[in-house]
Amino acid sequence: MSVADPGKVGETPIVSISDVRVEYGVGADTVLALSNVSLRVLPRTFLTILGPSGCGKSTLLNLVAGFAAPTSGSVLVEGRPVSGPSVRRGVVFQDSAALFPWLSVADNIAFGLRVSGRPREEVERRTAAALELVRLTAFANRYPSELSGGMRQLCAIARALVMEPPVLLMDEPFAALDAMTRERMQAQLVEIWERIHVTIIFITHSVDEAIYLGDEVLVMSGRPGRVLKRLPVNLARPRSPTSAEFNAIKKEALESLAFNPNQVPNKE
Amino acid sequence: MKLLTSSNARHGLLRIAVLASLVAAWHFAVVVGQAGGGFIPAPGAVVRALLIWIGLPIGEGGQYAGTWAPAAMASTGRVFAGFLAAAALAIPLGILIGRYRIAADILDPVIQLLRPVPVSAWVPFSMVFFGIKPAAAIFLVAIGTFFPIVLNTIAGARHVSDLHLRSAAMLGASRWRTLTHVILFAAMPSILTGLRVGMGLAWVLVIVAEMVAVKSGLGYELWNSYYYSRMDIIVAVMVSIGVFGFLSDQLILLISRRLLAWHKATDK
Repeated sequence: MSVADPGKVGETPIVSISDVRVEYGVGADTVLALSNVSLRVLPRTFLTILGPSGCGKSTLLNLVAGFAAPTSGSVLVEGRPVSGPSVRRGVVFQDSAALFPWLSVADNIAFGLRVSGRPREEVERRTAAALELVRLTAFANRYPSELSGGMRQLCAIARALVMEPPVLLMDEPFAALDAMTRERMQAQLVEIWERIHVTIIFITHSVDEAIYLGDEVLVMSGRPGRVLKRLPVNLARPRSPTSAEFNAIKKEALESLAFNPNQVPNKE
Repeated sequence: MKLLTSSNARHGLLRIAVLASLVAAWHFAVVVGQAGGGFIPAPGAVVRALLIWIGLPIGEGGQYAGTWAPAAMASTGRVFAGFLAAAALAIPLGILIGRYRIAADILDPVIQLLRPVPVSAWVPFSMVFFGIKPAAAIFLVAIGTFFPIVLNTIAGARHVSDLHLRSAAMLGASRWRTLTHVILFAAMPSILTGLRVGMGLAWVLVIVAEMVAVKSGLGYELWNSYYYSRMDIIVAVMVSIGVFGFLSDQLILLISRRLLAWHKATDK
């Protein structure tokens, strides 16, 4: 199914996924991870993808990131087919061990600028700005192992955003955090997103997180992953998870998830 | 420089007590018990021989007086020359073999065939090839230390986290930058393990080589003093080798601690 935002017809989508199918393995062991998935994301959108564990939502993200290729169908970003990872598509992984443990926070953030040979002055200026953006300036010289889980993910966000990618892909980045830290991180992420021009695709299995963060919530079914529903969230930020409007959307999301008898979303 | 790793004062005292009682046992066995029939020197005689050898103006002097430093420097120089040559070859090669299938297919069989040949079996070959010269010792040290360094580097390079490789890719690192900025560092704990094992072997090999194939150095003095029936010098050489081996190991540990400050933090 293909859903274009009716209010913005004519605007060119930054991410465009058409009839994507992903299979793993060969012969009788073939697993169908994604089936007939189509999706368009307009620039500057905060899209959350909600689905049960193992529904192929990480696979979908890996396709956009360029870490995997579809069995059939096409994945276009900025109008061009994705053929591999790129600095135009930043990634924040679920596991904060993705940070380079041998580099300090500042050096982790500067990594992308350094390996692309930017002048020293530019590296320092942009690294300082990214540290400021995620409020880690005071921890610039610490190693990742000396930070809390939440701070590590902020560092991972800064490491990706310092490259100024038009698209930021986030794969359950707060799943490993405790509930209170997670809420703080969600609020901070919205704040960051409001300050810069970036399209975010954010994977989660938490209904509350998906609705709190997203302009739109894409609800996916269990394996094989399909798009069940696309819910617009037209609520002003910061959102209150206890408001009536919030809960109306939550009800809708839970109902569409419940369509699949095997799938129960993880409760928070 | 802090040489002793345990800072516990009681452990320090016990350590000294064990060492002192060993020396005391040696002294009483030789002086009181007449062990060795007069051929085994007492600790006091060894210390005296060592001090004269080093060049202190006590007693007769003789042919050994003041020749310690040139011998020690010759051996140390050969250890480090062979060790550094081996490391310079083994680390890049190990990373290539660990990361690239082609390199592994071509080079792994050669390494696996050469590795079972004991390094001591290389002695006649190196004597023919290099003659009775220092180069023979350097060659032997290099051959012997090459294998632990290359094998540990391969293991380290093979086990680089996929998350780090993906991170590097989405931050725009080229293949080459990924090797020099990610894989080299991720493999560093393994590489340093290889270097430490290699350094231990290097001292064994330099002594073997100098006893047979070189006319200078501690190994040469060791064999020479046997011909002159100077048991006090034999033991003094053994003590010297032990001290140099210990100091070399401490040097590698010191470098490891510097390079792996992040790794220590991860271990916590």
